[in-house]
Amino acid sequence: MSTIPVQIFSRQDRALVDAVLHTELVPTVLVQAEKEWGPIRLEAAEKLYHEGRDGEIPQHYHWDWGAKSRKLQFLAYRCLGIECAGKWQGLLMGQLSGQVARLDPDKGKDLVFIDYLESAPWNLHTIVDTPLYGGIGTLLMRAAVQLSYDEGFHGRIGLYALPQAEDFYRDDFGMHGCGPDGSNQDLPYYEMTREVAASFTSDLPAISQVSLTSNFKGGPV
Amino acid sequence: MNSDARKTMTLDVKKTMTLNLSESEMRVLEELANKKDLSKTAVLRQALRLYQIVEARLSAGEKLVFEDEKAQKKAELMVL
Repeated sequence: MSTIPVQIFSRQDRALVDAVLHTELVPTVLVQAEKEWGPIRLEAAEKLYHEGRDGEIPQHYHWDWGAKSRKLQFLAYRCLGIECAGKWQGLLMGQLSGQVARLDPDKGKDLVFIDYLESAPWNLHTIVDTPLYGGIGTLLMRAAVQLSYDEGFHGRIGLYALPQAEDFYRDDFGMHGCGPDGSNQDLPYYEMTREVAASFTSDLPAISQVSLTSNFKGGPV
Repeated sequence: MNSDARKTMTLDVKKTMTLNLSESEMRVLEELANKKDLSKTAVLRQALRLYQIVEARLSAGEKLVFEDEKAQKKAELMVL
């Protein structure tokens, strides 16, 4: 398991703190993370439901990283994670083959497809009143772009966005919306072209030196 | 992002192998590499990833089917 030192924003201390980006997680890590995250997600969903705030229920409340970990038996999948203070602060499952770009001029060429991206529930303002860390989703997205470069995909990434996260992908990352996809529950498909990836990363000297600011809007749900 | 950063995601130990290909095999590999804008190594890596998934799903009793929506045709790919 490769690691890269990074920094994330501690909302409590209002300062950057050291963290570690793991670039190749093993299945047991995902099972471990789910044991911690799952009950918090479900409890938050039940609470919001009982308070009549259905629209605020995180749309990923039913995710199960333990089940998703089975994908890691295949070379085509890679899971990245950010660790800080002895806990997993965010995870990203990427698919490295079997998905291709839909947008010109690279239509039909390989990309890194982001299957799942989640910040730990204690980092989400929809789940806790005082989130602990910020910038997790942003950092994982940057790592996915980096992975795309590593694979020779020129920074191209694609994903299906949950409606609650569309702003994040569109506004923060300039991903192009391709509309709802009937083959996948009508979820909107978003893609980052190589041009957007190049401008997105041009001010980023290295993943390990990323500085994430306090005005970060919050990670994807 | 500078080249040092791009190296950081590929720290895993890589093993080297020599691959002997016929002229026609190399030609196909080069065509695919050109078409997909990938290195030949990347094409082979993608092929291995896909082959592993296909093999696992076929072993689990699933079928691999290609569909031509316009012609309304479906064809099962037989992988031996």
